[in-house]
Amino acid sequence: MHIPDGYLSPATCVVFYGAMAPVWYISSRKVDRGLKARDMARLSFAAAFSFVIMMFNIPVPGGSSGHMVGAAVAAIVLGPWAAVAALTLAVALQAFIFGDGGVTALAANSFNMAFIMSFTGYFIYSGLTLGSPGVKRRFFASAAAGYVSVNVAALAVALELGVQPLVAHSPAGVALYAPYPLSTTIPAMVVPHLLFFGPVEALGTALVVSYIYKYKRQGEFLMSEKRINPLWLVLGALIVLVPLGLLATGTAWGEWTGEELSRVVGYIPEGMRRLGNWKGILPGYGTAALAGYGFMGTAFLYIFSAALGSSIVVAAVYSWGRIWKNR
Amino acid sequence: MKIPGWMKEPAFEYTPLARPARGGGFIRKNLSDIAHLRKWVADSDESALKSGLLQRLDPAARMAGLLVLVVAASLSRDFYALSVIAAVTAVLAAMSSVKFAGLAKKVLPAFIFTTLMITPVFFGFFSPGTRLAGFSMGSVDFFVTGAGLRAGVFFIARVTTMASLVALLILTTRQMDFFRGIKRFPLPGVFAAALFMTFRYMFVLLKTAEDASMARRSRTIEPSMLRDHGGWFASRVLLFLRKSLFAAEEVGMAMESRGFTGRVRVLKESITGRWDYLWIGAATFVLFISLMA
Repeated sequence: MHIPDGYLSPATCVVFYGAMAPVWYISSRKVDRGLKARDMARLSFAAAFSFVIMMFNIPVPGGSSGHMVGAAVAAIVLGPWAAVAALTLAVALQAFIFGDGGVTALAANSFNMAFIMSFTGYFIYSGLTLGSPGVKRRFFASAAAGYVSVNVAALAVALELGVQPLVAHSPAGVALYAPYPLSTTIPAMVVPHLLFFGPVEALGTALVVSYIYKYKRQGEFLMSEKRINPLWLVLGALIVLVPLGLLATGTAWGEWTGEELSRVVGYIPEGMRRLGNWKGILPGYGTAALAGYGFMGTAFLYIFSAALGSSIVVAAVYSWGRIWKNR
Repeated sequence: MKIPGWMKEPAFEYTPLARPARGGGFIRKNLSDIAHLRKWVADSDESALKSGLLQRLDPAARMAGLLVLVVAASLSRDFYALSVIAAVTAVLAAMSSVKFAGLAKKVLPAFIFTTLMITPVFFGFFSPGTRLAGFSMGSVDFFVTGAGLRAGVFFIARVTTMASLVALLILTTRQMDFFRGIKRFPLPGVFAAALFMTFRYMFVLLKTAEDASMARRSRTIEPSMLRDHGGWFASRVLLFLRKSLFAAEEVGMAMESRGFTGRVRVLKESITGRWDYLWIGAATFVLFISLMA
């Protein structure tokens, strides 16, 4: 899961440092609001805990063993923002002291293992344990959180590596960094995680969370007892389901481009001709950029566009609410 | 008293009862991984104690310069620029008393993984071009192309050079110097302090993990079921968690009692040495060369 140095182009690394900067800022603010000594010690121990469970082997059927990332466990136990901070520290130590994972790829690795895994695991667990879950549902929810979160992170790694030939190549078209296209990286990363690493993560997460509940120590350990608002789950589900629209054929009624309208009514109205030139930040939801990557590439861009759009709307409403409150 | 036959033999094998249980390989692996990690840290610190060019520099300047070289390697787009950086890395290693074997040991995992991963790029089915060498398996022709060889070797060279520079940083910087150096970077003081504390506490928890694994191994005399192993694994993770939270409370209280008010204060030293400036200037010069090449 750790991307080494030299696999991602400098531009990609810069983008991830830019993307993770606000995440790190928010997570540090959330974890140590006002920063008391105990919070700082707690954060450091949480990071050390994440590091140790990352290197602690878990027994798997067949007499073998594997490692888990443990982000879902950390998120369920500590809360998603604390997990982001703790795993980022663990990933930074691995890169700088143990040479595991790249220094230039630190932000990308944090994005995959600290941010994506923590939030995916936390939301899945919270969603599946809404109400009053029993032992079996809690076991299933934590297993699902571990399984899905590690697979989503693996998919993110595959996408990051797979877009490298598109974003960084020589004039002759030779890839300068990770050379394989999405059609190779996605199966190469996703299949082993679906079949081996995912079950290991699921088993480890389920065992630890169930063990905590079995001995009724949840009050002692689970700091993330603040329940998630179901509205956020619905919004997340809607974002994930956005690509279903790709299955429909044709253009939605009334959403015609100038050319389509011209074919329907025979001319382009003057107002549309004047105002219809601006194509937006992501024209066609950015589908032109990944045109050659079929349904998966288009689906990824649709999800990205939906997440970007809804984030901008939420941020705008939140900002407006703050301004209104301060008046 | 009748002594069993196997006790009379001077055998160095395990006694029948102490033979490691089947399926307990993950415990041995835990112990081996922890020992490997300790050795890694000890080797790095030992190497960093030697006198040499990089060791004489200020830790922050040393880290900044090596990170500039890592960025230069990342930005390089042709063999010439990359060769210059690789040569600089080799010279730095030699002048810093870093043994080639020690450096190679740290870089080898990245080199092997990258070489295996990149191998298909050498061949014609991935990189069309002029045939250099090949072989046939039935009706399928496998051949290495010039374009594939260039792209693959360049990728391996870049990854290896970058890994070597990071390894050089590890092998010439004592852990304490690393944390002292990182405080001087424009990072939030909380991050630098938390990173240092994480490193210290990591060893506290690793000791717990090592003790737990050793205790389990020494008490295992019969093959165990996967379910038992799973239960043990979960209970140990829970133990780490309890220990983390308990120790965090203790450490937090100790910090408060010693006057820590929540504000992380970092002593802001500036780089003053002539050689430190010269070193950063030289690293930046290499960065510009790789940008212009």
